[in-house]
Amino acid sequence: MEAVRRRGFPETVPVSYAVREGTPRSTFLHRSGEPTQPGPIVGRGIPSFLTGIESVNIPETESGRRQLGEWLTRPDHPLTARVMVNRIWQHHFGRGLVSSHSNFGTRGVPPTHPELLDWLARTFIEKGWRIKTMHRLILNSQVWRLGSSQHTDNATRDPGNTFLWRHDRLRLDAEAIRDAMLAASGQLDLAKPGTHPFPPITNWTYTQHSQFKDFYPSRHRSIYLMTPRLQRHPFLSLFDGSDTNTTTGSRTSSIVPAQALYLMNSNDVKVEAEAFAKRVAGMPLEARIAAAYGFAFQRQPNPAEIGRATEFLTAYTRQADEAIAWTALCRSLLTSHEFFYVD
Amino acid sequence: MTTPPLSRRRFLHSCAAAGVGSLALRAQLQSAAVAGEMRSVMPSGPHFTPKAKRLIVLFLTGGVSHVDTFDPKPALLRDRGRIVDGPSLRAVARQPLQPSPFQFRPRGESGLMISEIFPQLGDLADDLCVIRSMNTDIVEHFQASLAMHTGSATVPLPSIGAWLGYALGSDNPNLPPYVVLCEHLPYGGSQLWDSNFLPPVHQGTRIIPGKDPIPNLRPVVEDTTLRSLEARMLDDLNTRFAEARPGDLALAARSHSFQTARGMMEVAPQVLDFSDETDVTHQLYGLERGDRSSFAWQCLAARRLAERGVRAVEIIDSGASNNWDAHSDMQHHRPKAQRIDQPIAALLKDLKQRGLFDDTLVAICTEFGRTPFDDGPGRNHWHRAFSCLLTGAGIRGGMTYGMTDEYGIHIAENPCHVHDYHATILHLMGLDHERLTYRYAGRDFRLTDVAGNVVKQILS
Repeated sequence: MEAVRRRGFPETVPVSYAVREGTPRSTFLHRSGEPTQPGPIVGRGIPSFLTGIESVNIPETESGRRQLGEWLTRPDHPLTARVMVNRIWQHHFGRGLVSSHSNFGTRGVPPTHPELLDWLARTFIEKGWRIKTMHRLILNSQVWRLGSSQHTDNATRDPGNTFLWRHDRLRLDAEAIRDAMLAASGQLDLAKPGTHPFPPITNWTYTQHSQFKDFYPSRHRSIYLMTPRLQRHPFLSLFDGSDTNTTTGSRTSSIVPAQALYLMNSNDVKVEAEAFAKRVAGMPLEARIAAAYGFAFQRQPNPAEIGRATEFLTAYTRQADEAIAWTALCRSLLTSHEFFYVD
Repeated sequence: MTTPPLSRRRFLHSCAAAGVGSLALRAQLQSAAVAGEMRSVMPSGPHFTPKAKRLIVLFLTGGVSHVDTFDPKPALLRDRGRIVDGPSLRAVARQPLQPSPFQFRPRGESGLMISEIFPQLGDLADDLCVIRSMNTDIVEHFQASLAMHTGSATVPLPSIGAWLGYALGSDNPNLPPYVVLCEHLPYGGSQLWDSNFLPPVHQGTRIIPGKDPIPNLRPVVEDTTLRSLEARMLDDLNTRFAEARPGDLALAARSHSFQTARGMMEVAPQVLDFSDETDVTHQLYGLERGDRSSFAWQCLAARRLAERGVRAVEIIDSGASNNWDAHSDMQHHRPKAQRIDQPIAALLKDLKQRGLFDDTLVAICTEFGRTPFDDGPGRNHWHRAFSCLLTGAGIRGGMTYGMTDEYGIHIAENPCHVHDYHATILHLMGLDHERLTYRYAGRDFRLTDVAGNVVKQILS
């Protein structure tokens, strides 16, 4: 079976599923929606109601994939760039300049800052459609660096923060929660990950009724995790990771007891907390608490917080080892509101 | 309150745009709730006096053959092998009629005809209402399972259990309102009990029969003193953070979720510990002590959950494999039926002896039926006619509703679409299916879409 899939390529060449051009053909009108009742041929192209500008020419011998890509990204057609920069903006602010992120049409919501949206879209095109450049631009802006604290006058005039007078407090998304826990505990592996340990293709017997269900442990960033279709990732799905079967315009940010159970009792979080406790071991007490706060919250604790943590450790170590007490303290930090929210 | 700066129209507009659950929306929900523009997120309660306080669903995955269980067709035996136009999955094929390999006989005083593979359920015939005219829209497992749970065969929508939790809330703050006992993932996976656009608190909580039924329920710190020290430390961290940020409902909800989780850690193990159940009860269900996973265990767990205030309990019998999908041989229905017959009968009897039967609605259902025509000895999927059962609160027992033609291929009278089945369940729970709505993406959504009629003839 594997030999068939390899089509004669040597063993040293890895194989994977991919897409390639098939034999192009034009489709026909389905009368009453019935494929068995063909009507006239419909040529390949961009639906005319969408274009507004001239449509594309697709040679008989090509599928049109290339032309579609070119049409989508032509510099005199701003929609693709607008949609993309809006998504990037949404990722950082929790809401796009166009809040109807997947609908820029007549039924969508107009942008709150149209000039800004166009400037970002133009910049995106001019800078060669580089997403990282846009992240850098947005993260260096004044508006991104605003805090999330309330302001009575602004709150009265714009309670929904439509005009971005403050930062909307955001919960980390699923991938970021995992990455942040690995980073705080010093366990994050930034090296390039290898391949997933899939079983050899020759052993595959997967069907609709006998599904592939494996997940593989990893200490790499979540972006490198396997993306299965049939089963949602147990951690990512718990914290509103995307449905891998469909496109997700925006994530939800649910709060359910199953998350709290996971944070309090799972072995995963315990392992992180233990590593975190070890990471700050071997320092004087106050320095150790300060280091833990630094790794977890990127700030120093105030005297009251140091006092509270000291009190906790004193009470805890009456009944348990120091290492276990520190694991408990580190778990509290890793699972607290402050760790979970971008403020 | 001064004039709210966010008009209702703008607000709903942005609801549609932002997608329910986004933090931006959450912030708007807060201000809108303050402005009195939104209905409360608290359960609305029933629309009228309910017959049923709780629902138990027994969902048999794979497609239970109606003509082999609850819809006897002697004409199949008479005309065995006669060729009919049988629309199959992909095309219309000419197929021979295939009789059932099982015997039917009248059961109970009502004489309800029930297949020999359900002997003990047959003993309760006088309590059962068999709807023989069920129909659904799409004849594949995933779509039909989704339809039976959400009313939608295409786009995932909130599950019926999530709707009930949303409308009626929970009678026990330490248990989730919708619990799904599910050993193996069904077709459609967790989408079958998802809350979708309804608030996430209404999504079903899966219990996996076996050693570790609710993930992460067992405390990682065993000592209760140490555990409460840590709980107080975390609560202090959270309180300090939340108090510096007044009015953030998400933070309050997150603090609350830890309280609920701690409540679950106390209560749920007791619910799933059957040591206080008598030997007589164990014998009734056919449950051995120490068994923590069989269908009998699941049925007893369902009773205990329902008894303790869980609004909707569902048992999903089998997952996406080794289920009722009898393509190769109808005899495969026999062990499947044997596995569930005594436990289901025991559950119904147990509800009765505890006085719960009169306010508990029990739905025994499947995603579709199976073709009365096939070369055999198995049968293909068939969605134009199949059978589902209702029993318990507000249901007339010992009756059939609807009728299929002499071969069980098409519905002859009183069709009951999945939407009608759902409308009837909601009605018995005190809810008007046309008034139970949720505004999402610019319109009001219902479990029953724009269809559904309450089947009044089966109400007691």
